[in-house]
Amino acid sequence: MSSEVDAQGRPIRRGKYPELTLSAVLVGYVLGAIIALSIGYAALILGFSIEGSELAAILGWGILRGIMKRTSIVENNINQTIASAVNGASAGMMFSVPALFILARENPEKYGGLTEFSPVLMVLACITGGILGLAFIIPLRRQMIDFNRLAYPGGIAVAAILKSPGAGMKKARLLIIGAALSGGLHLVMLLVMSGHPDAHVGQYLSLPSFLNITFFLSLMTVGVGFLSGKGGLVFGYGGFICYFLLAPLLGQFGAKNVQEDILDPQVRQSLLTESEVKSFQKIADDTSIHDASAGDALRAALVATDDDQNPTGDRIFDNVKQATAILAAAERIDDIADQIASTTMVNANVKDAGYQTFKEAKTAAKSLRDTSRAAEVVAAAEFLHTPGRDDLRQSLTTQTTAKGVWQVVKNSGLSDASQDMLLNATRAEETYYSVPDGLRLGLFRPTGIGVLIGAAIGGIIAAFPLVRSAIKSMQQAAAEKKNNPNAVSDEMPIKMLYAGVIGGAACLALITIFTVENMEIWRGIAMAVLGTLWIWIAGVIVSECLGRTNWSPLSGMTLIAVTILLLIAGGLDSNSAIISSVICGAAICVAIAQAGDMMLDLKSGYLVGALPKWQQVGQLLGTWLGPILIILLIFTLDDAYGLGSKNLPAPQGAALASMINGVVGGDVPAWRYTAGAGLGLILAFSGLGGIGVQIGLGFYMPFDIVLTYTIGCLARMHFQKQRGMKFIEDVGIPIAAGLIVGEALVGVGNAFVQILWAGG
Amino acid sequence: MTSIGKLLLYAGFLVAAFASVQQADEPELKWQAVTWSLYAIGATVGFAGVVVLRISATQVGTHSHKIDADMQTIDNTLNLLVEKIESLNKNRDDIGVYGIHPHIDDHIVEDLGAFVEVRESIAHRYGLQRYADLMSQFALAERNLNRAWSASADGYIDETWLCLDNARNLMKDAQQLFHQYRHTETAQ
Repeated sequence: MSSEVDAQGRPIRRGKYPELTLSAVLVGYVLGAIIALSIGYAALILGFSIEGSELAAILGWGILRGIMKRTSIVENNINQTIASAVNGASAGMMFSVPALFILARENPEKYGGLTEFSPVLMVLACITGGILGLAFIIPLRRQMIDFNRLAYPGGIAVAAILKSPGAGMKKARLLIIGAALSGGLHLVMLLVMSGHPDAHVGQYLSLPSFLNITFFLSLMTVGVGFLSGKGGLVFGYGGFICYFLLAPLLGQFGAKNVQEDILDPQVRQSLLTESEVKSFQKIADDTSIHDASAGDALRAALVATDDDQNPTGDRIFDNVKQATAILAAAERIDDIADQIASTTMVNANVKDAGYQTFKEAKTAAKSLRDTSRAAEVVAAAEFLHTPGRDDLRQSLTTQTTAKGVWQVVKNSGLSDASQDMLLNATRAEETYYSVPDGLRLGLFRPTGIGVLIGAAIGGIIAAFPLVRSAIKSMQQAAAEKKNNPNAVSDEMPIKMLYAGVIGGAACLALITIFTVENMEIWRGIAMAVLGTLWIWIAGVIVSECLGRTNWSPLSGMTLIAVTILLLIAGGLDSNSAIISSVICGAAICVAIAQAGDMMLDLKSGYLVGALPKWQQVGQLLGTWLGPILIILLIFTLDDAYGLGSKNLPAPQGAALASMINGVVGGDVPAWRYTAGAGLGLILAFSGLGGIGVQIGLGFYMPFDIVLTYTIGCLARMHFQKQRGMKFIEDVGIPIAAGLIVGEALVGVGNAFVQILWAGG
Repeated sequence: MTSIGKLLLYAGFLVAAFASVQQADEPELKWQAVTWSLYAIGATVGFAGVVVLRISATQVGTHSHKIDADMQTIDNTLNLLVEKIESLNKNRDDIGVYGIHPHIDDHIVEDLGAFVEVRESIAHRYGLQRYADLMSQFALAERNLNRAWSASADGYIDETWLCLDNARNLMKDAQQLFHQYRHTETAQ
């Protein structure tokens, strides 16, 4: 390389433009490992995963340019591609693998053997899944990015960071302003509202709660909507259909059980008041308890108390403690202590909790420092010896409405004080499953999953000429290469991708067969073949959702995958069926995550002019490391804190565990998936590009996010009309990209704080 | 006709969606939790809408004034893009390597956006296969321009010139392909 300079003294560089270099690969591995471990850990606490590309791009910018004096935008793009590929495993595995630990912990007698799965096979399955996901999605790059021009807002944000050295001061300043605004707001939200911050506008305006006019207080979401523009508005329509059309119609013409169980305002009023919610949240904050977890805790406690001899006593008390701390902090401790003295059935539980006598427990109850411990004794006693506890447990575990729980409690024959205690807890339950949540979780979300599936399958059929053209061009490139060995191809050789698919499917079959001793060969092959097919379909769904809205229905796709696998594995004993399904399911989950991440990175790459081939190689190079790191992290954290415990609730894994329990018990809403799939097919065949996937995602996602996202879309449309495309390019996009970057960085920073906090 | 198709599609979809969520899940309901008779009516109406939309799309693709106008926009934009990239290539030594990326931002990005805005009309008029072939060329040209932008910002002169050459040739290919489509259409 020469040392020429231009008139302004800037270096003029000759020779090859560095792209896939050893520096980029190594920095990518290091950053990917840091990001995967921290985001993986955060996912066990927060319940969702964070895309690490922005952070990798910024850190890569600092390391490659600042420290190593490298000078290539496309090289940093490879670094972020590899780093996010390593991180792809954290999203995939943290959703699936903890389910095995949680099931074993909750019910050691029935599921105790679940943790004895082979970690080596799990890692191999996840690596195989990653390769399969990439081999399936890479041929669709042209269709999604070149032909359909999907927006991939996250990809635009990463490209904005990558290009910042050359974009000029004005754009860089706008990006930083956007990042500061959204990062600052998100920080305030984390400090003040601790969790999912919402503005309940509908409530302030006294509108019916089923309309669900609540805005998610997130500038990142506005930024994502802005980058999606008019094309993203259809995603909003999905939500509007649910809450502005279907919900009022259900109120008028819905079945009796919808009106009474979900929409009946009298029930909500009788069980929940605003001041109670506020007081509950304050108490929960004071006692370091997340409000949303109290209902879960109570339910988990009740499930765990299924057997009085259940050895998971610690967990019972741990969970009960969360629910009963509400009471303790509500200054009812004296009443509780009196109950201890008057109850004759709690002896064993008092001793289990470490107290020798009731007096000792009572003294402890009055000590502020040990408030929750004493309360836990009472609660455990009450729950364990309640005459109506079976009914109550059934009501809560089947997510019966507040009204149903209320009736059970009132008919239980318990003392008034005990009824108060239980009703307090059920109010927390009702806070968690509010009317909009009831509508979404019970009706719209499963239908939305079906719409997504139908739309994706229909979309593949409808876009067949485009897919064929993309594959044909890859085959032509391979032929050119054969005729002219010096020809440079932009894509990975198609034959290598075919080999990846066939080899990956064969490996997955082998791994599945060896997951458990009693697995029949035909069953293992069937699971792997269906799993592979699902990777293709779900990979397309997730990539398209990310491209159109930046949100991925990864959890829904994995739930379906594990459901299908469990049904195939149904002939095995339950432990074997669950282990093999979760291992194969984890592979699918990683595959889908990798597919989505690949397309996001390819979009960034397109915008900075990267060669797709090198990015695809980079992504493959990053696929192996993540599963190894994450499985080590999972085992280490389980040893230290216990997955599913208060310290590491692993909400996504808990959701999968609960679903596995449901499937094993024959409780899968297949009817809604089927109905939704029909709706998706109709939309996909309409010829109105991408409408099915977006409307399905609108059904699937919480409406507060949809509403806030829509603001971004409308803002883009407004400014584009008023100020023109130039303004959007020069001002709008840098600010919107900054909004995404700022909140993502604060999110990752929060993950680091969580790690330090736990370490301390 | 398109409006009727959309009306049927949306009405059918809403009816079928309502039938899908009309009842909450209860252990004894299972598959009866969806009102299938109503669902079938909605799905049939929706499917009728799809058929009408498909027929309408075929007719619109060949007769619409909007599509005609979009074809003209595409033609003009491709001509402009070829001209501008050609000119950039000619004057690149005067502009200098570090001047290329601001030049692309100021003079070319808007035209690329204009093409992208109306690109779907190509599929309506000439079918998906031809749309894919043209978009392949266009996207390759655009990616080379993007790479020229990055290389220019980093001061890599050889790469910048190479990418500008590639972008010019590929955009010309796209232009020729589009002219071929139009020529074939006129001949028919």
